[in-house]
Amino acid sequence: MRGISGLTGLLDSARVKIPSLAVFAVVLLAFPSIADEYWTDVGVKVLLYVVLGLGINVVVGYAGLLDLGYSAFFAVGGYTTAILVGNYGVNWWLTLPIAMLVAAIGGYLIGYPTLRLRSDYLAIVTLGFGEIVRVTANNLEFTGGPDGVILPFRPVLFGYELAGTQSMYYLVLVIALVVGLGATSLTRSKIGRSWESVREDERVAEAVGVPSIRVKALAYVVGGVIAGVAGAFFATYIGIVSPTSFTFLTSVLILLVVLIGGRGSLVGVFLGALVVQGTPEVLRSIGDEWRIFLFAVVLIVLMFVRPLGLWPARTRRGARLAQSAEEPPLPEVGVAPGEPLLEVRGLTMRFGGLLALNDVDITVGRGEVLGVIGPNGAGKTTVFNCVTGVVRPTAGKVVLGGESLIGRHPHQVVQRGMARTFQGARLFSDMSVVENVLVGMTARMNSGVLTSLLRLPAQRREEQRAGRQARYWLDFVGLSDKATRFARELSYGDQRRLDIARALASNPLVLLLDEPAAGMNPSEKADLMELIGRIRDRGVTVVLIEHDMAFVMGLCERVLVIETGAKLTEGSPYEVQQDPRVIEAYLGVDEDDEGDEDADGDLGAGPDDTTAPTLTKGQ
Amino acid sequence: MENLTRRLGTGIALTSVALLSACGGNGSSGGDDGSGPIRIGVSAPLSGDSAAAGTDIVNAAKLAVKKINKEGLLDGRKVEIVQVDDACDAQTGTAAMRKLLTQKVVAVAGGYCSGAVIPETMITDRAGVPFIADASTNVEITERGLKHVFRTIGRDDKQSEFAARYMVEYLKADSVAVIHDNTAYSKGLAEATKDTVKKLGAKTVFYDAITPGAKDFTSFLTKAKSTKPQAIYFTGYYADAGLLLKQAHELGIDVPIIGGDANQDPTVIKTAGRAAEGFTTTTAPLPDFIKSTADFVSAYEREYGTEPGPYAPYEYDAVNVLADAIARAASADSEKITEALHATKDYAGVTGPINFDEKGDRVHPIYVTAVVEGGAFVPGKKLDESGNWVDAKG
Repeated sequence: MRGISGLTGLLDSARVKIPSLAVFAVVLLAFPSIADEYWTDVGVKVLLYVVLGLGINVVVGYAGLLDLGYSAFFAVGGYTTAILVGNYGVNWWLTLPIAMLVAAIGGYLIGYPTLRLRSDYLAIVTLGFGEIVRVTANNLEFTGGPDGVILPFRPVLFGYELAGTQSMYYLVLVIALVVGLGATSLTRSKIGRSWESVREDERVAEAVGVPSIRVKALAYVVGGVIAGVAGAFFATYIGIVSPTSFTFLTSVLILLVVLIGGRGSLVGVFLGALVVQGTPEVLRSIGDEWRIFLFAVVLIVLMFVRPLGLWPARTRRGARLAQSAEEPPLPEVGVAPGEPLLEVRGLTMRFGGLLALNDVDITVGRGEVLGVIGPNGAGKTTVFNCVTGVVRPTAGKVVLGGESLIGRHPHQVVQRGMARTFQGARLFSDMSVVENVLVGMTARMNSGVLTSLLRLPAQRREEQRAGRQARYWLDFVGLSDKATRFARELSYGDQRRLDIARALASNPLVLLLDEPAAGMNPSEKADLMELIGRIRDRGVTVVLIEHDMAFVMGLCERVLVIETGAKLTEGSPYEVQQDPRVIEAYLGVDEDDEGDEDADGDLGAGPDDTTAPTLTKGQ
Repeated sequence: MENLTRRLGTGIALTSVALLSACGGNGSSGGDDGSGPIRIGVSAPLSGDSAAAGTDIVNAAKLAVKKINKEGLLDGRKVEIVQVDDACDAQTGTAAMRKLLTQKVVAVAGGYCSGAVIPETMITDRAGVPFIADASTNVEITERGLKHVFRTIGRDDKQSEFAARYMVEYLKADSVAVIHDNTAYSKGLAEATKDTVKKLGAKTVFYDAITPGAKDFTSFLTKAKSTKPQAIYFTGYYADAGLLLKQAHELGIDVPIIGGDANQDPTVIKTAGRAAEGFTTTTAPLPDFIKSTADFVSAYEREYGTEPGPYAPYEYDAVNVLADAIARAASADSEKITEALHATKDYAGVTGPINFDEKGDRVHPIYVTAVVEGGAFVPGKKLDESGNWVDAKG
């Protein structure tokens, strides 16, 4: 489950234990000379499963997309190479990129239309995909039907035939290293953090600037490409591809590599592959009759003894805090201080027959702090959800700095300069504090897959700058000393501050805070007021929903009151407090109810998440 | 990170060097050391769905070895079976075969699924170890020009020849209908049959595919009937054959209906009932069809308390013909055994005389027809050596 720390873990242990790493490398290199042909053959298969494990680790371990049909991509790669070489005589080396491409297309085809599904449904779809590929291969003529395709040719490198056990061992070892390095580069980059954030909480990831659908499809494509490479080598090594090699059991075995080894860890993947491919062969010496039974016993015992895997990613996060901080410049916008920056006109939201918002107008000037108050279920969070693209309003306009935001996805809204926090601080709890902040920068980073994969200088510079800016924001909210802890380990007050830092990391023009002070004690509230004051002083426009009147009155120049989905009134804190309608609708409410706040508070897009104003009025 | 990258870079460089220096070091690892027992490998599925068939094959091999050791083979050396599980899977099968080679087997007799036997034979052939397939009928096994591959069972394309000759020569049909179900095996058999029918001077007047599992074939059969074939050959699987027969009977189709060997299953009779009477299959002879297998069948039953499976006699023959080759070669050297196998002449196997052609296939693979009579399959006809149709029994 842990993320980036794979190679870092290796690196750290390497500092302490360079000898053990060296011994490991020597054993890997010398293995075919020590072992006979049979054990070298087992070694090849272990290494192929290392490659497959690295691939499924991206999909399942990082992006959190349970894939029960991963062998489909393995099959696609194998068949592509086998058919091109076997039936058309294409040069073997040429088929490698083609196999990767076809597997990538397969990943996209399975990924894109299905990624809107929830994870358990997605698992069923992948299961179906795996079966479809196998059954199709079983029935098509050009895939050789149940007989499969035979590869008569062997790849040749510098005049050497590469199909022998030993040469294949070294070839697959190189591939495993290359894939391992590539996967590590990706998972340590913005892309890896995006995958993890989607795994942790997809809706929040989207709302803080991660293009979640694209990120998930990318995980499938990368996973597909890796399995495609493995498939091409598998086909070449075995000399035949047939549907029986790509069953549901194959998918499960590949999944086991990650489950047994430990998710998100390179060493874990290696150990997992060793267990999954090595144990059945070791058990041959005990007897064929008991082989599979004992293999199952070994797997069960391992899962009992090490439920997180043999070598899970370390508990301390890898990403370190940058040594120095860099303050990001406030983004340019063609709006003078005090002029309207965010304009909402006629905002109306209907959930079925329920009118959640009715013709709400809001204007926020640049540099202003606007408070939004109203009784429970009045529609305050729905305003935030409509404005940030979480739900699409039934009618109305939302304009930020002259640009309409209607129809934008939440991550696009973040890109255009509006960030938000959540009630109850929904953090990426299994990621570190600094990684949470880095995810908030996704919308401002430009590196793509290839630059991240190759760690090109531009990408590295961008990552370093992001690290320094993350340091700045953590200094800003006072969390630098806790930067490498897991988000879930923070105190409640710290979690709220991290939520704000994550939103600030996108360097927004407008920051929307949803009940930032809820559940805080007076001293925490005082700290928070001071923090919001500093945010305003940077020139960031702040809109905050809050129930604590003293908090609102102390911070805001202007307050907007919403009741039953409509704007009741608007004015200075003093004016609002004197308004008899407000007193009746809101201030008369017993403060004791505060703890029960917010049935409407979630990011939820449906009416289930929104309490009808009529139900809560007069509570 | 930089450090590690450099280190890994060095690793890759070292690996490449090792890779190049290691190429060419893939010698044969099989072979006999001239003393101790002579080891014969048997690969078969001992786990998974086909484990029952695999166990049956291993049992037949052990029975053969028991007889061979009783009679004595080479300088008083014992023969020993080394069994290995190939799980009907290419990946497991290749590992299994490399394991056998490290255990110094001089030859392999076995295999079940073609998908595993094809890659397995690539490995044994490279190592110069003969492999006699007992159950895999896929054409490719002996079609790849591998010198060390043989088989005791017929191949898929020989069945089509047999079926076409049965319809055209024995039934004297001038026009036939060939029905398949679009699966690779079925379509391949159907196409080859159509070709041979043409070669024999008859016509295929109807050639089409059913949808497996469709249940209602009446309109399909009506169309077939309108072409007035004198015989119908169905190359699909037994699951559809029963309904096909039943509905053909209801439509009044009274020409002979023949099925490929995938229809050799009592389910057909159960589904079709009386409509199955007279239904004929083209198949490898079932153990109780052949007089020469009777002794084998009773010995097998005495040893294991159960009837032998369909491939047991072919595995029994495979091990025996191997022992015969070892005796004639007077050596347990794999290459010499291979030469002797190629020179095999009229070895009297329980499945009939064994001769291998240049590809390693049996010269006269035996196919028979089995006919449903009184609710059971009974022996029909077969071709004798001079090409006459004779009773299959005996």
